[in-house]
Amino acid sequence: MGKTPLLEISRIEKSFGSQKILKGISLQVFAGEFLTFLGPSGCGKTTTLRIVAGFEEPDKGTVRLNGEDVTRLPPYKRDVHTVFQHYALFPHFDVFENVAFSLRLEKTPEPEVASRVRGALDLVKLGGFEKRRIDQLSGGQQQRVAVARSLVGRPSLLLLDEPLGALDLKLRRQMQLELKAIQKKTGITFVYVTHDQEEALTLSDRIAVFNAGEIVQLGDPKSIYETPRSSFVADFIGSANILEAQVKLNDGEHVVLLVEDEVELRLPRPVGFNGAEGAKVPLAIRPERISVHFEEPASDAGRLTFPGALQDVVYLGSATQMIISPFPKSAKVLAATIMGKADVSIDGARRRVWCEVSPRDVLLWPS
Amino acid sequence: MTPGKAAPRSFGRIDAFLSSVVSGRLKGASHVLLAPSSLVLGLFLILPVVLILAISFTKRGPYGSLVWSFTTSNYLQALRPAYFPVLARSFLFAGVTTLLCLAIAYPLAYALSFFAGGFRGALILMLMVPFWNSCLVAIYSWMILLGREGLLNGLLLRLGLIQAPVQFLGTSFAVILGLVYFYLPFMVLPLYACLEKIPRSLIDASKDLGAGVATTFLKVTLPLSLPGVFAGCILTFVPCVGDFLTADFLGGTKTYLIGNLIANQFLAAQDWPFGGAMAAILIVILSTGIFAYLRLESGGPEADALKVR
Repeated sequence: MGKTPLLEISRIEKSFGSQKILKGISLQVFAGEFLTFLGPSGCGKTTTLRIVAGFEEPDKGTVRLNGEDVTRLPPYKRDVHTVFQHYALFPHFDVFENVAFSLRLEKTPEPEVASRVRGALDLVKLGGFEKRRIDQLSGGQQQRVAVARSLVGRPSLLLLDEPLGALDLKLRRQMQLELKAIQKKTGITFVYVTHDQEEALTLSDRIAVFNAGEIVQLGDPKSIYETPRSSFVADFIGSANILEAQVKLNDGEHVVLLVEDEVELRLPRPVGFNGAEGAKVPLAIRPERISVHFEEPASDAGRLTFPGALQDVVYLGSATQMIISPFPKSAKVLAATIMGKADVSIDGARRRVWCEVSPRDVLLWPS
Repeated sequence: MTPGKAAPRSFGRIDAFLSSVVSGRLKGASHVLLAPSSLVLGLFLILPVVLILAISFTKRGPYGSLVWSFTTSNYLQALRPAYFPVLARSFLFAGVTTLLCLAIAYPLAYALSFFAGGFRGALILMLMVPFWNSCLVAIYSWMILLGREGLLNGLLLRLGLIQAPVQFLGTSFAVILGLVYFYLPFMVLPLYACLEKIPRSLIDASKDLGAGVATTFLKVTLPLSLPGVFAGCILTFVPCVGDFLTADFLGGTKTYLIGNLIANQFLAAQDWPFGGAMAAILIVILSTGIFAYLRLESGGPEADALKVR
């Protein structure tokens, strides 16, 4: 690319006590990007963020900002600001003084402080709240103050540690859009930590999926959703039916899989799939990629069909989920999501149905 | 009926009672719940103060008996200029003690809260153990340490810092040393509790926004610990003003404090009405001071910080 990354993390390792939290994290973040660390709790995403901010020192590896090694620099010497999970606003200052905190430290002249604080508060739509005490603000407003406080110093990199975690769903959705708009408007690079995959998909230019102290996949939301690199990623991003399959045949061109010991699927070999004959491999199908038919569909060479029993119908509002049991001998069921109003009621349960999947939507991984 | 069957029913009743108390449906129930603490406060705080006040308006009879007739002469006597230096000295000693305690306790509480890690419990215990000791034992220990033949003089002589034993006992130095020793936990504990309550994320946020260690302390930690500083100062200063044991044993005529004066009226001089009047004056001065402080405080930024948490 030739471009110097704004932030470059190389082979970061970190242990707390005997527990290895980070097992070699490497990552590049480019200017203007919105990058999200996504992963389950305890996967090391927050620790990585704290290492970038300077609150923790890695045992091994380096952190570079604009090409400069900052691994051992304290947080107050880094051009990086953080929005904390619980906002961490100063209760002994009002809104204005909270936002002005970093400007005052730089001995910014008073008129400039006033105009920049006003600008930052306008950006987060909190104009007129200057004199409010922190405990007079709602959670959403506190979150906005925290964002304004971190942005007012115009850092080159803004770190956000699950900033919306304490807000209710509706407010969270709204704040997601606002954060994205603020990022676009200011052009500041955002590194965002969340365990909410939907949030990650909504906001990010790129997502780094963390699991057990490693980045298991890094890419844009679409590629992560469409071509997850492991069953963990498939399961964590969006929802997926994770099944077990035995490879019956793999001749390089086609594979035949026996799914859950009961349903045989024959499909073109996915690129890179190297499961040997007889091996047991994980297989995933996203619920919304399964079409459900109430009559046996005309056989189409390009599609995979298999029968099942409709066990339950779950009404989700904008969609309907059908719980189907294609494997009579095992307890495993498939979830299939039908967008929009589905023409089936709960009375339709226990009916015989046919599932249809495109071979492209059967996810398999190289072992 | 088995007890096993009876239990849920009675629990159910208690639950119903408690929930009606909480929801305020059962009028007067909160009074019932407040009764035990009100009783203790009434018996051991209000009643003695009322008694002292009542006695302070009586006359001393021959041989120290009380003559129950109303007089204000005890107060007129207590307000004579002759006693002012004693009162002033008491406030001075208590003030110096409080400042010294603060100077020692703040770094101590800070270290306990921020750096002690797993040793925190053990260190607090070590701080508390001398406090549980009988104060007479502690005072006699100090007398041994500070005496002419005591450890301190021995050490100083051995080091050649002094040529002849120094008279420590009976000086203000000994009294203030004793007071600092006794009242230090009263300063450390509220300070520690307050520092402990400061969310660490605030300190992270301050550093994140560009403040160094010293600036973070001055702009964040110190202002947020002020409620603890004030609580510790009150808890140290108030009992210090009335202390008499320390001055009795470690001090001399030059360190005679208001506490000694009052104690002597009740013990040696057998003049309870005069002692009562002195005690009442002290109570009025101290409570006026505390109320004035609380009034001032309720408008200040520290009060806001207190309310937040």
